[in-house]
Amino acid sequence: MIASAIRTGRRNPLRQSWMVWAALIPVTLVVLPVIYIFIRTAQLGAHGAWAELFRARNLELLLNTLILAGGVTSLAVVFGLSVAWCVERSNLPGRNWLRVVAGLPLVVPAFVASYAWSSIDSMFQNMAGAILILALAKYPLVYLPVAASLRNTDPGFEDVSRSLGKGPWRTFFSALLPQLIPALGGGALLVGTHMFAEFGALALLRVQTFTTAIFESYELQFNSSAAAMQSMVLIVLCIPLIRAEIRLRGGRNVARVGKGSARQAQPVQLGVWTIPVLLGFIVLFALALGVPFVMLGYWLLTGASVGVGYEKIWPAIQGTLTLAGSGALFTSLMAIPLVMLAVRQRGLLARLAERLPYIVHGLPGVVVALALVFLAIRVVPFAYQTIFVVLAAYAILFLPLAQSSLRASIELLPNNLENIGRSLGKRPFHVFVTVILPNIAPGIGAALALMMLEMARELTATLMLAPTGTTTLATQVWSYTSDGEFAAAAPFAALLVVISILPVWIFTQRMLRQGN
Amino acid sequence: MSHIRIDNIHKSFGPVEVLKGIDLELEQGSVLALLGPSGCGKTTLLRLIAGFDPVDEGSIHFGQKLMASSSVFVPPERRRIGYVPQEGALFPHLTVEGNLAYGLPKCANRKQRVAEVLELIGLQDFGHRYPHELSGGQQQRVALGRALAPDPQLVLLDEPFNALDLELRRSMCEDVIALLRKTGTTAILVTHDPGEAFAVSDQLAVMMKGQIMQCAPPETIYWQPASETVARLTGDAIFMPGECAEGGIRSALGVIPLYSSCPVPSCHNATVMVRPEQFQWCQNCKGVPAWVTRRSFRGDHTLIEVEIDDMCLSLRMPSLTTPQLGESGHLRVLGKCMAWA
Repeated sequence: MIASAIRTGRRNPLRQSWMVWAALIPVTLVVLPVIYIFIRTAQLGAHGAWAELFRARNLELLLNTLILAGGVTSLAVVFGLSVAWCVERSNLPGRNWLRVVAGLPLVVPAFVASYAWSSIDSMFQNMAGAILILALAKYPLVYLPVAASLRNTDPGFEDVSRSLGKGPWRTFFSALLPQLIPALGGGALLVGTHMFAEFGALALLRVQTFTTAIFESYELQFNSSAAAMQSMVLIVLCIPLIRAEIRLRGGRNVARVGKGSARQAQPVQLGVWTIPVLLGFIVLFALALGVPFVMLGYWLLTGASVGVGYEKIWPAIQGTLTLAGSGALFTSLMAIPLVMLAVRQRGLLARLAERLPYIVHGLPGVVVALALVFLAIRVVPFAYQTIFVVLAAYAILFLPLAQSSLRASIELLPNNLENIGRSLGKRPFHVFVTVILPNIAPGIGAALALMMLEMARELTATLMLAPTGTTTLATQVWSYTSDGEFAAAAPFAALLVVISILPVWIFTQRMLRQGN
Repeated sequence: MSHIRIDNIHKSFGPVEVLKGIDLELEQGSVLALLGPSGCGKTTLLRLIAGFDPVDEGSIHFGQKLMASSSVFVPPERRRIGYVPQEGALFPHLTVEGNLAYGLPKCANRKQRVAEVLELIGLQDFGHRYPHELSGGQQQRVALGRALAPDPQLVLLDEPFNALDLELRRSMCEDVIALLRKTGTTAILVTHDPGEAFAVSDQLAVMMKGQIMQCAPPETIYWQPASETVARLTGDAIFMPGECAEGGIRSALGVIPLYSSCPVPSCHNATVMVRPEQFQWCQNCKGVPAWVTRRSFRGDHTLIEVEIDDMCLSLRMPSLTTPQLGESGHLRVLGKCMAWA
């Protein structure tokens, strides 16, 4: 009797083994770049690695990277915070409308904005220009969470601060700003991470950072040790940002506990400042939205190379759809077991599986691509130059995105749903297919759309990994612009902007509504 | 034959020992209520029986078959149990019929069984509705129907009426019990509401801090609780010091006979327990002189506070026979009492 029971039973019951195995695939994928750096360092040996690391050029790159990331992040924080305060806490006329427009610069990918600016004049192709242009393109990443957070903060704190004899500015810094730190910090970290990873925009603006240098080394010499060591520096640079983000994530959860219904803050009267503030908004929008749109329109209609690449538009659209579509599908598939593990099970493996992609999220596309090229050629040479390598790169880069969108819908499911399915005599996998999957389908749909958009706009890894002959909208913008054929690049860039409008608008609305 | 036996179950989560040696036995066709404050481990015990979590130590038998021990684990899908959680947790993407049919084997006469269950739960016309189109009570009924449909050997109900409002709760509770009795299903109900536990169960197990304090029929639990804790958990109680005397135990209320189940307490410093409705008020009868200091009308009963000697007692009386505020008279204890050292 007991023997038969032992035969049917297992020691560790609820470890749903298929899910654990399924989660191992994305975890392995995500670790690949680290493996690459490790192998290359080992190959170089301590001396070689040392010599390669401490070259004068690397110091210059380090300075450039830090200045750029610091500059763009600070400027984006200034833009984002002031815009958010004006539309949420002042009586600025037309602020309901401005609130939405202020999020729209996200429709223009950074490298498209850089293309627009550098096509005006080469005077923007330097560090100062890059900082301004990228800050204009990225400030909504700060503005949107801060605006939502401003709506959520209880104005009671400010009232108390004022009643205790602090002036409006002291109140802003001592009572309001600390409450905004999680949102502000999250946004700033995102901008910083993007700057460490940005390649296309910086190449167009002729600013040398680690990413552009790695790409160049890769183009010049297929398997350069310089690129590997620069990748290592870049990863090390990303670590503090990643740690900060994880800490912030933890803190934010606590801050949300016990949220009462906050009273709406009384808008601050701008008075004589109304006109200057409005002018400021006009200038900001003119620079962040006006310039890219006007230049795109201009190059669509005029210029020496108008009509050059028209016959390539359709193949590029096809390439974009193929890569982004299959990439989004593949990445969602990878993300489901990770999210299920994280939501439903506790324990080291689940925590690791969930966190790892977020940790690697800071990795620039160029490093991921480099690692995949290196490993593909050595381990699976037949896969090199196929779509599978691109899919792997997309999965590594966009897993966190898929995880966070899926997580929201999986968390909505009642806890007991799987247990009930099993108590009714169905095996775990059967329960997953018949109960869980149908219920998270809408979440998966949203995740797919979001990821397709991001993948369509991805340049670096696509450029390095796409099979020969496969073009996408992003790679076409890149190749024409590198050759100075601005008009030829325009239709591709315009298409990229157009496909972004609807998703960005929905995203902006949703972020802003979080405040209500 | 199918009775449930639980022997010396231990379960820890990390360093916290949640269950510290649970023993329970349950006859086929009977209903056991697990009563205890939140955090006492009752839901954990239910999950171990269901097979959602493994046991650390001890064993669970369904009939002769070993379901769980430290080395054996039969997964929930092979235990033939029905589970009804607090929120019902109907599958939101399936209709009522779909939910009811989920646990039925493909080949069998599914349609007929679904129709049977629909009739059983009194929702014949709701088969094609989705869960969100049902009221809370209807959802709970479907959840019960879904658990009963595959004819389980044991149904586990985890505070199934918690989400419902008070009125509905009472009627649902009765409906569900009627249903369980009708189908002769063995069931375990977890609850923290003593009224619910008394109303539904054949056996009532009172749990506290990971241990079963007492397991007995509801009336025994109420009148003859094994300890002060059990007395407090199962309703209001009056405690007072007492000493052994001829024919019972002597306290400020006079000599009250002891239940035979009561372990004879040491004769000094015993604690006597009576229930607040165990009293009769009369003007000129044998009893302790008392004086009403407070009176609070509650409809079907009235709460009064009376002073006897230097003590103040809170009593519950039928509204018609409750004395007025300030009235003096005599108090008599009805029935027997419990006492512990």
